Amino acid sequence: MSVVPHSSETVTAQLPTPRLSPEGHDPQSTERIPVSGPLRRLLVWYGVASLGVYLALGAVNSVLLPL
Amino acid sequence: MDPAQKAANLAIVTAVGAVGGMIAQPIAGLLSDRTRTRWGRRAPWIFAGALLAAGGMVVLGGMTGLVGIGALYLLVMVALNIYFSPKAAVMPDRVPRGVRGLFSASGGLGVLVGITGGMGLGAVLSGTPAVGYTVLAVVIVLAAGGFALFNPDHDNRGEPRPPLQWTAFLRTFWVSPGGTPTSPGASSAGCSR
Repeated sequence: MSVVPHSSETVTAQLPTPRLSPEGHDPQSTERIPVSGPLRRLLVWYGVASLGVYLALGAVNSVLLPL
Repeated sequence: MDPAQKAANLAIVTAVGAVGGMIAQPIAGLLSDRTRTRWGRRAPWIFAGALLAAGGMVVLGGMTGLVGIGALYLLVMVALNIYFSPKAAVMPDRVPRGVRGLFSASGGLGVLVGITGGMGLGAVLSGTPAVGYTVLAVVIVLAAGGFALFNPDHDNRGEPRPPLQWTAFLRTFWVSPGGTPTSPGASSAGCSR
């Protein structure tokens, strides 16, 4: 026999807690938060990581391929 | 190698590399989803992909035969996609939806500056390909290492692994042109009604 929760306390207890990112934010949040601290650092390195890949692709594909 | 066949050789090598990268990217993403380490699920793949690409580029600089160049180029493309796919997945993993546009712009800026800068760097170092490849190898390891080191992820060893469903995974390679609202066929069909 299944037990159906009736009290608001039980329902609240069953709501999933948002899992915060290492930067301390909820990834599902649609709120436009200020990008500072660890999130800003992630933003900068996210761009740098893209830059690294495409720097290699640009150089290897265009000129350096020794054919 | 025959200089007359240069364009054909380049086409073969880049085509093989593109196919390898196309296959490697979703597989790397799938495997990283299921990875459980003290450094999280993305960082080990990002760093391993960068190391593999760097090693491949250094060896590629000394290659002279078409088969060797093709094999090394394929390795580098696969490795770069092993790096790139988990790196791209960091955004939905860790960035709030409200500011993802900013992160997308940051990644896009990296693409534009990277392609342009890479072509410039390649032109400058085209006389010494071995040096060029070594510089690129160092840059890519620093970019990946900095990303993983300065932005550590949660230890996820205690998390359950999602079930591996190869049929569902293979279906992601198929996009129905008729079923996509933004496809030209769909929009013109909508206008004619």
